[in-house]
Amino acid sequence: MRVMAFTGVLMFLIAAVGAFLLWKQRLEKARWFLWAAIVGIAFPYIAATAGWILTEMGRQPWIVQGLLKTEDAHSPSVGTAWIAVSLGMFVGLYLVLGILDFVLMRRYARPDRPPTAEQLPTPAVTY
Amino acid sequence: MDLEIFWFCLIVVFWSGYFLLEGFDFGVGMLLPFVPRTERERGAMFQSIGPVWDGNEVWLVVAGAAIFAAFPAWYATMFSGFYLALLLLLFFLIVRVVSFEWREKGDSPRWRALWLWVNAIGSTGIALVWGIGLANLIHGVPLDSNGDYGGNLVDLFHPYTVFAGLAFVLLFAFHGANYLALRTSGELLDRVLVAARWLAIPAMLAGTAFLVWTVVVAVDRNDKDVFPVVLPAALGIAALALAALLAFTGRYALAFTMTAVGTVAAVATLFTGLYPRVMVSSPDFGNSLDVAGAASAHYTLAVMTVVALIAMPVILLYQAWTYYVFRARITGEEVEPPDALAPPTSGPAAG
Repeated sequence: MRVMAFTGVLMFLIAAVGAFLLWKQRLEKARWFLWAAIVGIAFPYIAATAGWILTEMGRQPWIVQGLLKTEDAHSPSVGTAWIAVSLGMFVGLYLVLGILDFVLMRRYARPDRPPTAEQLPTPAVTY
Repeated sequence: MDLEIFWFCLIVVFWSGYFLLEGFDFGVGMLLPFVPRTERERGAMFQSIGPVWDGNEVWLVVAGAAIFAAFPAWYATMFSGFYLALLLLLFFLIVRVVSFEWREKGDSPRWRALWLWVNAIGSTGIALVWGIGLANLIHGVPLDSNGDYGGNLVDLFHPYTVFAGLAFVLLFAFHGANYLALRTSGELLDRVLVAARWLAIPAMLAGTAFLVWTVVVAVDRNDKDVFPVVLPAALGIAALALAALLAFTGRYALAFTMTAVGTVAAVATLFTGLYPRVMVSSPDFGNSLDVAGAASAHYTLAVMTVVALIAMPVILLYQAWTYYVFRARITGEEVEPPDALAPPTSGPAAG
């Protein structure tokens, strides 16, 4: 809860400072602010995750408050080993996808990147 | 009509819509390594399903959500019993989604080939797992008196269920070829038509055998009479035979219609053979889950019916609109974007 509130306030402050700089027309020149804004990319994710952890932990031992306990809610036919396997698959898969995503974003963010086929006039396809 | 029967029928409609629509984009994915020869043709094949595949997938979400809400006991048994199969399915679904987005983000042939194969393998894998999974509902899985699944992954593999998976793959590949025949042009279209002719006979034979086998399984293992089940099966067999004939005579719009009818008939045959049960138990047939026993309370179903009656027309309208917007044939030629969308052609800001 505190993490979520802190990051929420921080995001608000960054936005307010950004709006002030925009108003003063100094936004592009304030390098310190642009760096702070980049760090701020992580804040919504930290806040959302912290909020989720709070609700999930806060309602234990219930999975539905007052109606169903977590220990009674799991599937009897799914053992611990398979839960470990599935968790491992998701962590591994998203780790690989996350790394590739980072590499792609880095490549696209570089100012000296040569134009790729995508920037040339190709069919404007958006999914 | 009882609401639980209404919802059973609605779930069959959702599954039919899912396979009718997503079936052809799985088929396009399966044909990706074999049909196009140039990079432009590969791009054209991706673009033929690019704007529509995720809309098609909505039907799967709706089918799963409807089972969850209308038949919680069915959902609980199926999704925990098929845990590993569905995990595999999720893996294929996730990597396939990424392949659409990332293939064009790199220029190297290796990068592009990687995501093309990811899409092809994902498409094939999804069709295979769904065929095996749905066939198991009627073939029977070990359930205890509490409705809990007592088997493991190996218990899902039987000659009938594996054959159902293969039949799904062949049927969707043929369905996808007919779809591509409607959406492509030039040399790519010529090769698509050759592929459709190659697939026509195997898909027809596999589909026919699957439908006949499903009727036999329904009678043998689910205590059904031949009569109602044989009707959708006969419709499916006729549609697939016509589809093959039409593919050979080059009438691909009608051939696509017939593979669509065949796909819907296959789903209808499975679920007609399943009713009034939703999951057959084997060897203890008495532990089977049925429609009445697995359904939610009447009030829940009544609320869901109102929601569905409002939401369904909206979904159908926006999906139809998507297909209308992207109705033109794909040439693979470069298209000038409208001025507002044109990337800057010069200056340091480019990129």
